[in-house]
Amino acid sequence: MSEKYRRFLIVVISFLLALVVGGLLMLFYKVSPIDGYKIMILGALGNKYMIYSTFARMVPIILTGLAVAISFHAGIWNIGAQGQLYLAAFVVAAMGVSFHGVPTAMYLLLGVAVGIAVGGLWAWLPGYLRVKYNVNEVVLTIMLNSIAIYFTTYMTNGPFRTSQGSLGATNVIDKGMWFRHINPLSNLNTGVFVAIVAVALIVYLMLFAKRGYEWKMMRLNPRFSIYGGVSFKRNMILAMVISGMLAGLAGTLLVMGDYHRFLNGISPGYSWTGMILAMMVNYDPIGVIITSFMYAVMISGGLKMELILGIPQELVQIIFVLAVMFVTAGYSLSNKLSNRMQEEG
Amino acid sequence: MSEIIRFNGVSKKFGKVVAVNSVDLSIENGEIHSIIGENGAGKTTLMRLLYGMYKPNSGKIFVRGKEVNFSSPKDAIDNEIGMVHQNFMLIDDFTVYENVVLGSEPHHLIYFDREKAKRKVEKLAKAYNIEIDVNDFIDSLSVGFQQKVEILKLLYRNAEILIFDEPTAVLTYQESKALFDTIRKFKAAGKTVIFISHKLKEVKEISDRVSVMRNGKLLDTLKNENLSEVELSKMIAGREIKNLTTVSLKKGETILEIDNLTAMGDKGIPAVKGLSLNVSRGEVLGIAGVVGNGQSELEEAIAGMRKITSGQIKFKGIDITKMSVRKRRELGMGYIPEDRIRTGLAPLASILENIIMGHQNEKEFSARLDFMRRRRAKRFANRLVNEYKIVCKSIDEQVGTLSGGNMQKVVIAREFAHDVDLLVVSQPTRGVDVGGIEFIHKGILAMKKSGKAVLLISSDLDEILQLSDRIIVMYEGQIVHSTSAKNADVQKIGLAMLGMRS
Repeated sequence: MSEKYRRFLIVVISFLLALVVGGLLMLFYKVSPIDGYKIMILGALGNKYMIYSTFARMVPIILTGLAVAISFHAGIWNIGAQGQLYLAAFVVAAMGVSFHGVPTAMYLLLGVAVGIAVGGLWAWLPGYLRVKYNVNEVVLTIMLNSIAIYFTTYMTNGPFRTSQGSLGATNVIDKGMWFRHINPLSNLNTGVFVAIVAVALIVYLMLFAKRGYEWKMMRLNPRFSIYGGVSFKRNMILAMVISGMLAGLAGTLLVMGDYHRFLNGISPGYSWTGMILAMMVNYDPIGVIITSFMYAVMISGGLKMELILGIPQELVQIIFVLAVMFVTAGYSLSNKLSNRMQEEG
Repeated sequence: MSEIIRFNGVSKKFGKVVAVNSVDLSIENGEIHSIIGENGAGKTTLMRLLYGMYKPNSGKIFVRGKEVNFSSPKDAIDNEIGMVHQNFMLIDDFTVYENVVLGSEPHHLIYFDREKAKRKVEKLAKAYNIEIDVNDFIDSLSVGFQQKVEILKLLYRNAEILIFDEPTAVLTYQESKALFDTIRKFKAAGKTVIFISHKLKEVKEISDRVSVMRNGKLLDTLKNENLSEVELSKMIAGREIKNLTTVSLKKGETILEIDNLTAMGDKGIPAVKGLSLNVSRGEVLGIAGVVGNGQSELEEAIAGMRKITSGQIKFKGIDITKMSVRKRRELGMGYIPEDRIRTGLAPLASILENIIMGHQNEKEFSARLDFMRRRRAKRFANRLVNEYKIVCKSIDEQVGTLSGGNMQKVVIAREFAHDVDLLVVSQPTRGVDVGGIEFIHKGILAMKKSGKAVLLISSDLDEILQLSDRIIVMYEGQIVHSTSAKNADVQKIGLAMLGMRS
């Protein structure tokens, strides 16, 4: 059995197992698991609008998931997706509240470009320091997270504080910068097309391009990749920058598409979820797409479950965490089994 | 002498492969018993069966007359059997003595009694003339010293039967000598030693008796004194191994010119000091020398993997001193590195991914938009696997799961497949069996014949003498002796390798 197929199977089985355990937990609320999951699926995919909502939920997760996947895939550990997302989102929002009268098409393009650039730059810094001075990028990116997040908090409470009521947010950005909602009932907006293009590019880069191959070899044995003529340092920075750009895009789309302003809590840990997803599928981009879809379905459906059946949405988080645990256990178990099988014949 | 270990019709299968095929073997108490054979002959598997790492499919193993059925190495250790593996199992951030006592630390109440641990380990080392500072950290030690730590671990656990799995593969000449002295000490102390190797000379030097394995079968067990090396090599390979001879060709244009090269070692101390040399088409330049005299740094500098402090490297008349590895490769440089596993392979990647490395930028495998032509790459990999008879399930198999000899073949196949003008080969015989060596040597000579330049770096003097047209000797980063192969004086070269000028 090929390695890839085996991993895929493990992820699927783990999710199913987690759902079984989740089903048992539902019994505590005197809800039949079948009803529970039915509501969950219906709540996520029951009609057009629900599907829209689920996809809207999927966008930031898939982008941060791929952001983490691409850097980890190359063997450089960008733990800073959260900070890159925040900073990009804030800068885009700051631009959107400051400048008015730019033609819509141009403003959209400009907003996305600036957001991507800011995210990329905030990732370039640790990437460069890592390559040039061998500073540990994990520590760096974690610290840069704090800097970015506190900086934006300061800005939303200071210079860019909203004049329209609630605290911890900027004003609404110029309408010329809005990705319009496709339907008023869901957050899904035209920004999703930008996300689709980005995802397609990343899949190409990681699975079909030479670069993806070189990145993988860099992770598996840096010395070997250098020996084979891979320009190690440049590739490493590149992976980091692309990673930051994706995280930046996630933040940009949240501002330009979902909220039309910057909020302090704009990312409730999207990047951490993305990281878990990416690691779960061993940085495979297709795997990230599949698991972030499953995750979005569970979250969307979880809301409905709480609404209708009175099951707290935290149940969904429990199921998700269980799935992660099962995947981890599954990998080590299957390694053991395959070793034994190889031995027994 | 009494028998201490007996294998009775022991077989072990991995899938369809029969690694060990009904082996009968008796090992006597207090002897040094060598098991010799090519890579994949089943030597290591046989020993792992004894050590409890595998279970036999059929047959019985007796230790001191009692049938044993080990389910893990722990059972073997409880029976005073210890094994020194090819890959060490040590904790880099721990000191020598910490590694040795790990798992059965001397303690005072609940405290780890470090002083006692140190004393115990020091005493053990002294008893067997093992020179080592027990306070050193593992990552500061050379491979030879790390091996000593592994040995101390076994002694600390009272091993009476010691298995060495190709212990000299990673050692320098002097380290090997020291190891042999230690092994003889073990014998004098009444311990039994099983020594796995594929080097005839070593086996001749150290053993009381020799067992030959081929294709999983034990062919024969012989007394050392009745053995001739020729006889033995024939038995191991199952055919005659011819000694290759080389004919010098007319020298062509100069391909590689190194002028006054200086490069630092990993510790920041100059390792190559003002070295100059040149290699021409149709020529093999052999660099002899004891490992650790700057050869590794020199090969890395030529390949572009190590920055140089001063000097110039010219390749085909072009100054490549500051050129990237990729550009050098594109210009036509092939490189079989000294440490094939650490540098030449990514063990966790597939055979395909390993074989394509260095070829990935060729037009054949890359298209516009950075697209990688994976289908062609697959065909290429499959072709090489067939051509070089690399034993594997498919090209998607991880390289790390292949046998040592097959891993080597992956590197060699890949580098020979380049259409190069210069081949840098380092330590081609390290960790390679008799048949494999012959294969590599043939490849080197074929390269030379087709008008390519070869730079051969080896600590094996016989190999240098056999293949080279010119020979230089490196000592402490400098060339201390240089001669044509015709006029080579082994005595002089040997002295030069040790830094003594005649």
